[in-house]
Amino acid sequence: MKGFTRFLIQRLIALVPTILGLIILTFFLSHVIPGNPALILGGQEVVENPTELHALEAELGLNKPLYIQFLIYLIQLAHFNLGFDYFQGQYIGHEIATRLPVSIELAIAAMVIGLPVAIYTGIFAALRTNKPADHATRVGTLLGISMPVYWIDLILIIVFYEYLHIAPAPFGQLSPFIKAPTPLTGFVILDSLIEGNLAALGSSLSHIILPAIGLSFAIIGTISRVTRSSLLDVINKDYMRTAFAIGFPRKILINKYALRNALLPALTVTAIQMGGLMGGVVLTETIFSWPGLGLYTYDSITNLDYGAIMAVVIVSGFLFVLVNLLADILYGVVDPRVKY
Amino acid sequence: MEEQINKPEAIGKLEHNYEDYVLYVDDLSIEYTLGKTRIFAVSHVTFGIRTNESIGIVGESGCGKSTLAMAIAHILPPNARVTSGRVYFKGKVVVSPEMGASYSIRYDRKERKIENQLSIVRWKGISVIFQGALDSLNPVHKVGTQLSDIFIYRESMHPEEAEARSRQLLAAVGLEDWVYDLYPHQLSGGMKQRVVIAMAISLNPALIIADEPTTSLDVITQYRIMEELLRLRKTFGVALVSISHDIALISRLSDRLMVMYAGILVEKLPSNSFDVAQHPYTHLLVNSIPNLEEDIAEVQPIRGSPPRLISPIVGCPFFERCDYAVMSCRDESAAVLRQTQPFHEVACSVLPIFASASVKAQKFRKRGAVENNVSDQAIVLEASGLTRIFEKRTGIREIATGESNKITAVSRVDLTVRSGETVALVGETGSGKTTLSRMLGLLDVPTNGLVKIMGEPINLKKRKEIAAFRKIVQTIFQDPFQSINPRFPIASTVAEPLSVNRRTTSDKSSSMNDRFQQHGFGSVLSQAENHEVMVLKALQEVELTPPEDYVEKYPHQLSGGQRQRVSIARGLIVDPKILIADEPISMLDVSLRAGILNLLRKLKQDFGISVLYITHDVASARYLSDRIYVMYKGEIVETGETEDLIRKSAHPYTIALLLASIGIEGSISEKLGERIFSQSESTDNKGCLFAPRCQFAKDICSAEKPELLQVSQSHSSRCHFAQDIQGMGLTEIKAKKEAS
Amino acid sequence: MDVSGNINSQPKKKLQRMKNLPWVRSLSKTATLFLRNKTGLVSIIVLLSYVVIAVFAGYIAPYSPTAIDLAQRQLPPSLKHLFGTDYFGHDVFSQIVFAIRLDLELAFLAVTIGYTIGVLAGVFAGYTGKFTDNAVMRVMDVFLAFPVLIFAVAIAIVVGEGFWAIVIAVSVTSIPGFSRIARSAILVTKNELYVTAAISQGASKAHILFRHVLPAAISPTIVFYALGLGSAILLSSGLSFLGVGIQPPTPELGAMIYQPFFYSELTDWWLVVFPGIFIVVIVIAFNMMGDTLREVTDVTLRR
Repeated sequence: MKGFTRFLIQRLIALVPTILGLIILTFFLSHVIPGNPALILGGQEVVENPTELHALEAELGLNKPLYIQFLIYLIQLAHFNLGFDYFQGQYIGHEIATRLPVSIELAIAAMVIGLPVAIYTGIFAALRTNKPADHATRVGTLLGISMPVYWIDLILIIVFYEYLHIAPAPFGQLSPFIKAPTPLTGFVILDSLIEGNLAALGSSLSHIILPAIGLSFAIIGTISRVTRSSLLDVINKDYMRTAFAIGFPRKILINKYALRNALLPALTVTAIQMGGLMGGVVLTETIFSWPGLGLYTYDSITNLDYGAIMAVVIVSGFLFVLVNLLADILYGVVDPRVKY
Repeated sequence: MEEQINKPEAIGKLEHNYEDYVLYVDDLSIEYTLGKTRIFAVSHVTFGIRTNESIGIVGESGCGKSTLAMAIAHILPPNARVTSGRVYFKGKVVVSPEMGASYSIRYDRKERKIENQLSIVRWKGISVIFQGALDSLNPVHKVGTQLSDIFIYRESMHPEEAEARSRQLLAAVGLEDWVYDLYPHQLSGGMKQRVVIAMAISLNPALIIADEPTTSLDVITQYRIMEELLRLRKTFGVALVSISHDIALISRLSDRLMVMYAGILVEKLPSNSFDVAQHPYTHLLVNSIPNLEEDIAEVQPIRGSPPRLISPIVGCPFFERCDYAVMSCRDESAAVLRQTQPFHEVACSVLPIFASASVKAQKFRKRGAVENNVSDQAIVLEASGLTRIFEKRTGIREIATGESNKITAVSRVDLTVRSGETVALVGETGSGKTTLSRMLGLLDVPTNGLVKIMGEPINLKKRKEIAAFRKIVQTIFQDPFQSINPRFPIASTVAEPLSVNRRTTSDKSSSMNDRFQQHGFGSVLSQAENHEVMVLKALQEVELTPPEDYVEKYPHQLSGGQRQRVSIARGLIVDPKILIADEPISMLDVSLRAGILNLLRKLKQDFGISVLYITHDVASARYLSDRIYVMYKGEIVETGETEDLIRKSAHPYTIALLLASIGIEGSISEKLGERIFSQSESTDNKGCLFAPRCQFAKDICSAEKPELLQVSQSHSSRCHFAQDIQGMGLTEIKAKKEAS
Repeated sequence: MDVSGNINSQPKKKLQRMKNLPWVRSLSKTATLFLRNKTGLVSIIVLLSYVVIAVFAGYIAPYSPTAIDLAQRQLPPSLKHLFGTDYFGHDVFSQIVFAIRLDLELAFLAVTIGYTIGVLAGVFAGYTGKFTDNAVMRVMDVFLAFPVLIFAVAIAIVVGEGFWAIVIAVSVTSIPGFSRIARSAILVTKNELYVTAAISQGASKAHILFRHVLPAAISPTIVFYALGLGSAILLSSGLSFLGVGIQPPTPELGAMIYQPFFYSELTDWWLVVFPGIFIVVIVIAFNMMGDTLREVTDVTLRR
């Protein structure tokens, strides 16, 4: 495993310029935003009072030269200080820390629903190329990648909440009449399990289903298509012909000899999807009033709270990079040809 | 269940006693559907194999031999269809129009039923040796897993027992035990091929099909695999169908030979010798290949190229390329196999009438003496101390670990090409010969050393010098399918050097153009016309006649041989002095190779162009060249005038190459010992690079690097014991062969 | 080939020459293959009908998209209002018709800008050398490290409000993807043997780029142009849904879906369903177009 640690270090070092660029870009974006943050924050009071405006500017560090501001920004970041959210009356870092698990829980739920369906339909279609089942799957996956996630969400709400009344009201993670579990991990489902709070568990599960399904459509669409095409590729490879000539049972042929090779590309796409899920999460959380990072983004947009938006941008960028690194490592574990 | 299937075949038994044969192929025809086109890959093939017999099928690529082999194993792709005939394995039908010959993982109920019937035939009855160097092994599973899976899932064996058996098998094919735990990508080509062989014999099949078992391996490994196959046949007593385009290999491997052309069997020979061949195609095929046993003055090219098989062929498929063709060859029955002698069938209605001896006389023999000695001519191209070291990505990783990943591809090579001379550079894959040729063609920058043209070293920083060089030296690449841009018509491709070098090629005609230049379009047009004339001339020179037919064609409309000619025409259009030909024939169909070889020869004779011919094939090097350089692991190990070098080889590696090319079983082991087959790398550069594989290696060999020293006039060898071993190769073997 | 230089044959010859130009040839070949493909044909028909709707929006829409009629609020679909009316009494059908015009303009403009810049950057990176390649791709890596929607939100907010905010946000976020694809296509073609052959004949870098590399490298990127149009529509309507960029009463498909969510009850299903369907259909068409283009430009399949 010596090669592995070396590989890991190498990859981590390679991340440095990307992350630095990420920070510079966000810093740049937050500084070309029209309008003086001090003015926005202070409102009417400071507009008429230049001394107060200067005081506020000094407090926010806006009177210093740009590179000093950047350095301060960096130092603050290093201390995980993303600024203060004056609208929520809370440090942004704290907001993000409490909201991140909420979003991650939703993303994981979407993956748990989407991934098996995606892989199964991918295999199903690949083994029936150009037959009706394949065409049907193709149409389905095409729909999956072509439907806007917020539209799916609203349709789901209309059907299952407004008309069928099966789903709970699309507001948050829990029904308001149920005592929430003490946040230990921040993941509501996990917390209720730990606490043994069955009522909360049931409520949280029933609340997460609709948004998770809404998010899973895109996952299913993309990963199913990738699985299908890579499995088709593998099936036409010479080593599959060898395995077939040997006369292995069909189960072994597919599960042991074809699938493992075929799932390698799917893995990369899954990672990208996982990272991209953050975008879908913003829309879904807005619709379901899901108190995660996405809703926070939406609220910040409506409040024009730039500091919070930039913090979300940085955090989601970090997450994205990390997930991709994870996928790279996994790839190496699954594919023996990857040398560390 | 089995009896049920066998019953309908009882009727068939009345005609043939299929059960006498391990395998009987009866009137088999196979067709592919590609979009809307149909390809008639195999047409009415009939033959049988008895127990313990070995049959070889020879043919060029696209002749249907692989289709035939894969059909027998019932593993054709789904777009293949059996249109007539049956294949019987021990009297039991395995392939028929109803059962098909395809495999598909996506099978339906009907196909599943067929699979169930086949399950006792698959691998237990018929197994296949695939081309191991390609990806016939699954890249994500260990070699051991893939082997023991056969026992686990086919024999329901316990995993531990399966592992023990697999390890035995690996040992049986001469592989070390640790191979069991490796992944295919960690093995060399030869090792992979052995694993594939081990898999094929695992369930003791009655019949093994070997599909190009040695292609894409280097010569010495090829030889080794062939020996391995012969040994296994003896020990296991299986019937063997081997398929190859390599005539020499197949005749050594088989008891009987069959020749396939355009989907039909054109000749079934009674023994493993081509000497009694009667079909014109067989003759031409054998005579079109230079070999080392006989010193052939001129190989016979076969004109034209094989038919495309997109429509059924009526009559003899060889009609258009045959010198003996008469009108009756177009008759429907012309290509039916007829018995001419006991066990000898020929699908030709004309030639067997002539005495076979008269055809054989076409083989010219050289007079032995070395012809046109040109060593006093001026040196045109010279490599002086050329070295190329590849450094694998110098990233953070290397800096962090302080480890340098250097590979010396070419090491201090001196090479000269004289005016009007053909020089061959012989080496196997990975010997650095292509890197050397790229440096000589100024396509790669040497780490060290100089390229000299007419005695003048080229300054790689001066564009003018490079441009001037590119006019004098042209490179022909190995792969004619990729060296020509598929988007351009032939005329544009051939004319490209002219338009590219417009300024530097200001010869008489374009200086004439200069006067017209003031008149605007007129001069452009006349220059274009001028180019057209030159293109036509160049196409004429490479024997693409009539050239008018070719100018507007696109590459995909041409055969490989024609494309290679286009590529040569493109080189010739700027009147080069030197042609660097990097394996120009290795990607071509066998019947097209001789044409290109003879063309290269003609260029030298008619235009006085010097040719640097780079190849892995000693026989064609001998045929073409005046002098030979032998390369091993980036170094020139031996050089000399062709006949001298071949008859009096003074380096063990050259001897091994020659013996492997001739390929008499046991000859290499006898002469050079088993060590020659080891792939061990010598890690320190202190001693002789070949020492780990050399039986004659003494202490000095690993301690001191031998220099390239003269053994006789214009013959040098990089071996401490050059004098001792000189001449123990070819001459002795030949004498031995003639005596026996 | 006519060597005599007959004057009458000149135009014909010129036409022949035109046909033999690699660009024209591969384009016309791609077009024929594309139209022969069922999926391709369907996608083209869908796109054309959307274009017709967009161009003749003024004639097709029965009402003004911005006319407020408070007497006709929240009406379900009827013959009078084909897709019903919204909270302010806008005719949904008319709004959709004009929204299609806006969304198509948005998508084509944004993707064309992003594609052009992205491909130029990719070609530059892939063709000039190791250092510039590394520099450009590092920058692109940074861009790629952001989830698209969040990055687009940030950019749109920086730019301000309105049409151009969305165009810029969508095009900027699409640049890194296009440049990556263009670069890898260039790298593949750059290593083709026929390019090496051209180098060995002494061809200049520019000659090789324009004659050999670009014609081969561009065709695979066209696939991603079509796919990019689909995701551009999704992205821009998503931005509008979040209230970034285009503001009501300008009709935009995403913003239209947002309205019932914000103002009225979701029981007004027609306000959600119809605009959504129009998004889905055009995005599917673009995706189908991309798939078909991928199929027909695949050189190995063509052989």
